[in-house]
Amino acid sequence: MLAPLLLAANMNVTWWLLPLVVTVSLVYNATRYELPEKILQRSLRMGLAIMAFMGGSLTILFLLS
Amino acid sequence: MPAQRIDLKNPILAAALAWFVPGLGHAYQGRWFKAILYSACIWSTWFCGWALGDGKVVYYNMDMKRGRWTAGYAAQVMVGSAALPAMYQTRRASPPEDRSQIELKGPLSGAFDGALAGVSFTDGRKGYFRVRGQLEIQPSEDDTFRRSITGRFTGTVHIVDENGAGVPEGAPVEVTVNYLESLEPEIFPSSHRALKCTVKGRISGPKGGDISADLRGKVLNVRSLWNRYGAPLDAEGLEAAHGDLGKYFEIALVYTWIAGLLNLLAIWDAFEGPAYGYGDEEPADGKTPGSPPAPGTVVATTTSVTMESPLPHLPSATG
Repeated sequence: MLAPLLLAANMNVTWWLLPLVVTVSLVYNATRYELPEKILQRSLRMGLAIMAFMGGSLTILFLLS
Repeated sequence: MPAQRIDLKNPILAAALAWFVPGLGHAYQGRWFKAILYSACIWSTWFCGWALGDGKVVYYNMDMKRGRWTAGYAAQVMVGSAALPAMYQTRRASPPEDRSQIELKGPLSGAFDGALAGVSFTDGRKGYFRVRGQLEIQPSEDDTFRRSITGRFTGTVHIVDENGAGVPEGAPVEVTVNYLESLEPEIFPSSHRALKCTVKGRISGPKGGDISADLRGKVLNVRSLWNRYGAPLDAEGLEAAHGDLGKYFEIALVYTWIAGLLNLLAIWDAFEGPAYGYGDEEPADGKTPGSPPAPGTVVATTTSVTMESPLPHLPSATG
């Protein structure tokens, strides 16, 4: 359905982590707080932290490889 | 518990609704922002994984003999209604281990995309052709071994490579089908149905002639959604899915697992309320744990400070 097209496009699988970062941040913080502003604010921070951590890990692995 | 400000109504019912349909438990409690957020995040993750995996990543179990749950399905079933059909489909399917043991139970017809393999011409030439066309088969009435079938394939040679025995593209093919070698199960996670059968007939046009061959390929769009949603893969199907989808098969699995695990958090939120509080509480120490006060915020403190001069007592200049 979708995968053969993506395989043909040779898309890097790392991009598939981004939607997961967004959903995990939003859902996790929604279970911590009730106020929408607080949830969104915390989700943004958590999403950025995850991205920074993953980006750092990727950079280290890239330099070591 | 920080739920005094939130009317959780019947928490057990809310949790059950949140499990069955992500977002429904919070809608029942009137927590509409969360209902929309959970619903959008969990459903989109789930269906993204389902579509990415070509509908083949949600199955109840692979081990038909022992009927065990897979760890992956234990995560997927946390999404509730979207994953539950897989349990029923496994009961419906109960396929034998070997596709060659599956008999054709009724007529099967539709557009066909596949190949004529092991083609033997009467003049001794050998060949292999990709073909497209229309296939119509049905069980034979004098079916001793349950694999004799009648029917025919009419179409054209689609692609010819160096094994084409000189037959040009577009050459008409008309063959009769007489023996079913293998057939994909009726309940299977694909809209197409793969089969392999032996045929005899003729390729018309220049370099054509009478042939006997194996016809293998897929009858397109013959399986209903009812016969494919959540249907189990057999070992052969799993191998083919890995081959067709490559790394996306694993990514699709991870998406559906994460959707289930996220809904587990949402279920607990429906039952117990938010873990840290409403979100606007004044902390006892005047600041939210782990975060600085917002700009412009006045933090009131009542601590009294007694200051002593840091300088030593100086003798009087006058002595």
